[in-house]
Amino acid sequence: MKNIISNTYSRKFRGISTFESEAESIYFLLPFKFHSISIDREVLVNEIGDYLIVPQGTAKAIVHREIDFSSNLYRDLVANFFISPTPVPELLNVISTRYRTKKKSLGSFTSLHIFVVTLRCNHSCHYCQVSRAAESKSEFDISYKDLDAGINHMFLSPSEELTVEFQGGEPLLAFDKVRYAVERIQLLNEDFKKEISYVICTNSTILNDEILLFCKNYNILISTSLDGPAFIHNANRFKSGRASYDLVIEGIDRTRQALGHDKVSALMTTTALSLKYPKEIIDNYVENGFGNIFLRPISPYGFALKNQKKNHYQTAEFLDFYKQGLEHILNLNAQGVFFKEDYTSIILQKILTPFTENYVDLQSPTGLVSSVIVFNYDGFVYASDESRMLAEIKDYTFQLGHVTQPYEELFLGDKAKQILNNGVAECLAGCSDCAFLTYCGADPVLHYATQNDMQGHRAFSIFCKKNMEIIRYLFEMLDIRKGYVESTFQSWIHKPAA
Amino acid sequence: MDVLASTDELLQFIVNEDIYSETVIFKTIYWLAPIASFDILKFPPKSFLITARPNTASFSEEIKKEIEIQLRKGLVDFKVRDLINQETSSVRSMIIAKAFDNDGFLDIEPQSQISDPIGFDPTR
Amino acid sequence: MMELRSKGKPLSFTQPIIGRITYGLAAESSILIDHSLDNTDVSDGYLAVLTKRSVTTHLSPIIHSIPSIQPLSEGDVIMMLPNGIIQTLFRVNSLDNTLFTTDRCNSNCLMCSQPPKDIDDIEYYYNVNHQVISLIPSTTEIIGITGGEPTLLGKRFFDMISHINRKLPATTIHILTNGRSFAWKNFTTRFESVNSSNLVLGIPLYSDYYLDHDYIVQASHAFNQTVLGLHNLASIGARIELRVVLHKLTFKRLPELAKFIFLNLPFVEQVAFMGLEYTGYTPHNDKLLWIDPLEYADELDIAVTYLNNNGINVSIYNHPLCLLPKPMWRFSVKSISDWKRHFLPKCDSCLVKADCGGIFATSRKVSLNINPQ
Ligand code: SF4
Ligand code: SF4
Repeated sequence: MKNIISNTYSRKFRGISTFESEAESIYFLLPFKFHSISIDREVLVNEIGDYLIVPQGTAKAIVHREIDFSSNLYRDLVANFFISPTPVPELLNVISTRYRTKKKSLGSFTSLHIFVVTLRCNHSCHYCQVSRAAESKSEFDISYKDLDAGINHMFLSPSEELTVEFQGGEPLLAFDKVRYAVERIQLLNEDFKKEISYVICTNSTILNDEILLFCKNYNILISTSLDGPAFIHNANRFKSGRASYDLVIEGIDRTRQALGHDKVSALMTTTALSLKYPKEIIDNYVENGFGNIFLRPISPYGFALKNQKKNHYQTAEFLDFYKQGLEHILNLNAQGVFFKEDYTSIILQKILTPFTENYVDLQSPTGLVSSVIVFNYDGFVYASDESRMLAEIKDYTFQLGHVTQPYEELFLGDKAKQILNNGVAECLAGCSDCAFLTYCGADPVLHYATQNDMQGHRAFSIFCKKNMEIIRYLFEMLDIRKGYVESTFQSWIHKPAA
Repeated sequence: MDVLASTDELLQFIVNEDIYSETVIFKTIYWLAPIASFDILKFPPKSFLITARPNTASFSEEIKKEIEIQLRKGLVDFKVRDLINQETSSVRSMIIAKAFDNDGFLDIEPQSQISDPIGFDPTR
Repeated sequence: MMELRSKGKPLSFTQPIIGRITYGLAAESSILIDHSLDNTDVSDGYLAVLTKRSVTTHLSPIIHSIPSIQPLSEGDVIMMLPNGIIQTLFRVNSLDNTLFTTDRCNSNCLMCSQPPKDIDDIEYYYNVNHQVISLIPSTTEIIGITGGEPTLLGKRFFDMISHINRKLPATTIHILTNGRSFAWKNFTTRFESVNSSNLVLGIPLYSDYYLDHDYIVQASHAFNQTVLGLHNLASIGARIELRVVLHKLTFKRLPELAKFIFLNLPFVEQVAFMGLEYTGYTPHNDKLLWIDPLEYADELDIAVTYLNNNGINVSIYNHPLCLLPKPMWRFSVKSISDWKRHFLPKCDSCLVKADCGGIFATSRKVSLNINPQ
């Protein structure tokens, strides 16, 4: 080891060239990937998700040692950990710490617990694969025994923060079960002392004072379905009797009055009809006082599941819808309306910050099982909401077992392992070389559902098609429309929606 | 990369194996699967033969053009990626190993000088 | 060291004396100021005496015949030197008190306002500071620790902090350090044992590119050591303020530096951009360093906006408002050191003078573009 104390020292100033000549005259590569984002530009992304947008051919020039030491690009590449003047970077510790931060989700375990308290529903939405219209048949409700078992499992999760989500059907048709579950969880939590938040996913059409008071007492958030203006919402969500749209808006107002404006969020389901109206849908969200929207693609979990061609066509259509929507949202922001798109925000957080967002679809290793778990009305346990949809068409691939089985069997059993093993994007063909890997994820359920293979082939994957284009598009925006767009993006990452 | 054959049912290319490895070729054709199906064969003495056949009845002119362009670009890009992977695999392992080294086993102390003329030593 | 001094005639002492000013009340270690003194001995209960009057004999230590004495308040801590110099070491009514720890430094920044000396003065200053710490009121809000490079004190660095922790448990301690020593884990571990939530480290970072930083601080490997040090400090939960001095060698990569900070050092509590103090080494390196602040306004704007957008606290210190783009004004903080804040005569007509960072009192060169708003 060199002596760390120097004794040849003088206070005479040394020129920059002295420092430069002391440095190595070669450079070493650090792991990075690249992706073309337009005809003449490419993005370089390093192991910790930092990026540089540069002219096409730069990656090649870097590898062939053609970068001029005195250029700004050289400084950028060193400072951003793309190359290193020493074989092992002196800041290896820093890079590793950053890597750990980006993979933070690995440390925690299952935090989102979904309880499907009933399959009953008062709607018959044409895109819904799971619910039963019969409002009165309680055989589609979860049993108290299974609820208890699910809650016990939940408290075995090592995660300090837990989110409990009640879904259906329409969960409020089984409000007694919701009430029972929350009260029991509260009681048990006096010992466990975890940070618990509750969400009820409802169509907001049967909220009453009793329910709202209950929500207020336990600080429960309401997540409601809103597909856009009445002509879209009502077309999507058929309900006998009064139109769904009016009831939802009424429900939202009532909930806001009772619980506070920020206690209600809305979730949009995209249909073939919606794809034609991005602006109208967004404007409707703004009019109804929401600060954000999640532009989601059409769910492929229908009966056309394995129809590749249709899926791809719809993905292309969705991407147009998304881009038009995003453009419209950016315009709104430029006019002073703070409004954000959630999927974009999740990806941007990964691109523009040293942190990561634990969003299940954009996680590698997959967030299935490790960050979300579903207890179905019949007591069966699934890796995700989509997994139980597959089960409704008699495919039990992602059924982890029954809630009465021990924790280890469910969460650490063969099924869970198989899902996890197929959900590491770093190991998937195509992904392992992709520059967007750090921002993207693995989705074994979707690949299984669309390709009959948990890993799937990336070139045929609608998941890949969507993410690759969205991420490329965002980089293109960051490149050519810097200033305003970038600061709007930054505000989405850091400010919560109104 | 040279074009060996180009018909409506068949496209063939010759690739020098000294320049592009099998891995690079496979990674390139992976992404072209939706537009054609591929075969790779050794082509002695020192080449690979890439054969593309249409997924449908026959190739259109645009598709043929597209395949050639994509192959050329893909080979170059995946070769660059391959070179980066080879050169950086050990540093990458170090980064990841260190990232999950909670006990500090892999800590490296700075090897550089602290440069205090009077002789301060931060390690003591 | 920029402190206030007076000089008079010493009598009856040969070693420096450190004590607390009083205008009457006798207490432990108190130094009486009494200008109406006649030749009678008033040393009873006092450690020493200061007076403007002339005295011929005195039993206890005294400095007399002081032609003009700096304003001293009850409780201020001073040092009387055997050559008759009176140094103020601590002023009770100021928020700018610093403990000067050494002239030594392992860097040699081109713009150092207080050029280091290669002398081993650590024990000397340690003893002075030790006494000062014992004498200052426990209600003191904030005390700075500066040098030279305080971490070069080694063991004495930790001794001093724990002494302050014991004596002044409610006082904020602000340490100016180049952070390099913390690159060594065991140094940070030792620091952890004296660290507290009252302690803030002010650490300079001048570029995102190592050679630029190394060149500016005139020390090879300094950048990597500082950044490693920052990470080690973050791992023990230390509070950190980053400092960036604005000049010709730093301004070009300010946007890149801001990005580097947010991505790699998001744990810092604050980033402070500071105007150049035209004193110390700076006049000597004028050609390398001087740039009119108007010329770096764009880069500063981008850097400040970026950090602010990303939730990092940003401040601009010691900077005339009229040389900053208007949107930057809200980040301007008057000054770290009130006695360093100075104005030009034309500033008197300026409407924003009260909020202005002004120019360094010590600066011998100012921008020609200073203009009342
Ligand atoms: S799914 Fe596609 S975009 Fe995502 S990492 Fe894999 S190859 Fe890249
Ligand atoms: S004129 Fe003087 S007081 Fe006014 S902003 Fe400029 S420096 Fe400050």
